[in-house]
Amino acid sequence: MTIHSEQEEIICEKIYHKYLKLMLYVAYSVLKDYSLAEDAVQQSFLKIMEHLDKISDVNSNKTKGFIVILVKNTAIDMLRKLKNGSSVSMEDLDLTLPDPGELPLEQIVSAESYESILRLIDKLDHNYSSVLYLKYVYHYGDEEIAELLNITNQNVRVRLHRARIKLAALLKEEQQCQDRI
Amino acid sequence: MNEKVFETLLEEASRESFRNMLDALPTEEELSDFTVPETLQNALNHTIKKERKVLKLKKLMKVSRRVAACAVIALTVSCGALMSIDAYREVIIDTVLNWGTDSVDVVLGSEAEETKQQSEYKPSYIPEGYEEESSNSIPNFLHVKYINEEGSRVVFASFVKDEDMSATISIDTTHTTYYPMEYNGIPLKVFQAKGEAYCSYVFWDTDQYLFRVYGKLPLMELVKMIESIQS
Repeated sequence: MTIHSEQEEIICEKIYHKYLKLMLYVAYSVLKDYSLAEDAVQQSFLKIMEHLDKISDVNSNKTKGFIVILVKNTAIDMLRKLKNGSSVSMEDLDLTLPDPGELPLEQIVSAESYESILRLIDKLDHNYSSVLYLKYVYHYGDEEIAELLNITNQNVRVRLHRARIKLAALLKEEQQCQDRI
Repeated sequence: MNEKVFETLLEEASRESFRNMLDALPTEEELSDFTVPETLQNALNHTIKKERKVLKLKKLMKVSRRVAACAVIALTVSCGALMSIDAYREVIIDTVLNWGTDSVDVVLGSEAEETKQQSEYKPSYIPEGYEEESSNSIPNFLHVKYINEEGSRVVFASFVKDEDMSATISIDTTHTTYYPMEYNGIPLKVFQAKGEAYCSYVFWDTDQYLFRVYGKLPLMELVKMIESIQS
């Protein structure tokens, strides 16, 4: 049982009518196969139905983003499974956290930092950007993010930390390039 | 300090990146030509219908539970109402007695003999503090009420048995405990009150009479009244 009230039933139907095409488009853009994309949409739809309590306004950008994140995550999981025979990425298997001392904070806090971070987030793998979005846009806790992305709480913490490290590293690299010029 | 600044920048940049990600998605108009296979539509419709059925079933069960709860409450209230059956009965009896008293003049036949028959048995012991409030009789029936200063009543009634006489009297056992008792070889049916706020009842019969006494009194006081019954 995933729908708990009439309100949720209405939300569910609205999502179906408004976002079905978008869901299929997103899934297809990852999987490049209509049959697989259909499976991904079905799986994602069930996932969305489990979390209808998180949706209040179907037409809002937050709902649209929420649906896109879930569909993309499901499609990427399927793709990984097809390629490796595993639903867990090799990166996620290594749960050791990199040394936070590697963060070049002095370089980060500069005038161009914001623009650079923004540009670099766009370059990040979906695994990392989705965790950042769910944390900073939706303000979900580690447990909620873990449930939505089908990963463990520890994975969430690791992904967040790695996202920060990757950003810092990319930022450092960018800074060095600029220095050379 | 730097870490806090970095965290703030990261949060703000994440939000803007999220907006950019949404902006990059095709609009509904752009997707209008994009067709969704019928199989997918059917599968999702089926899922929604299934969930809707479960929700309806859940609602139905909820309503059923409410109905069941109401039924239990109604049953409880009905049982509670049994407690006041005697009060209603008293009103009815009083009405009949008043009619009987008023219609004495029109009763034909051996009136004197019948009256004598009614008053044959009456308790001589009256519990302390009580006095006779009223005594009424109609053919084959005697009804005596005793009252104390606080307005608490004890009622004694005797019926002359008739061959055709058959009656069922309901006594609520929520506030009384029923047990049979024997006094001087006569079987008594005793309903002892579970508290001072409730009435105790005693029923017994002889070959000719059926007796009843009840009131908010200790059971022994009622038994003493029974002991004192004399013609």
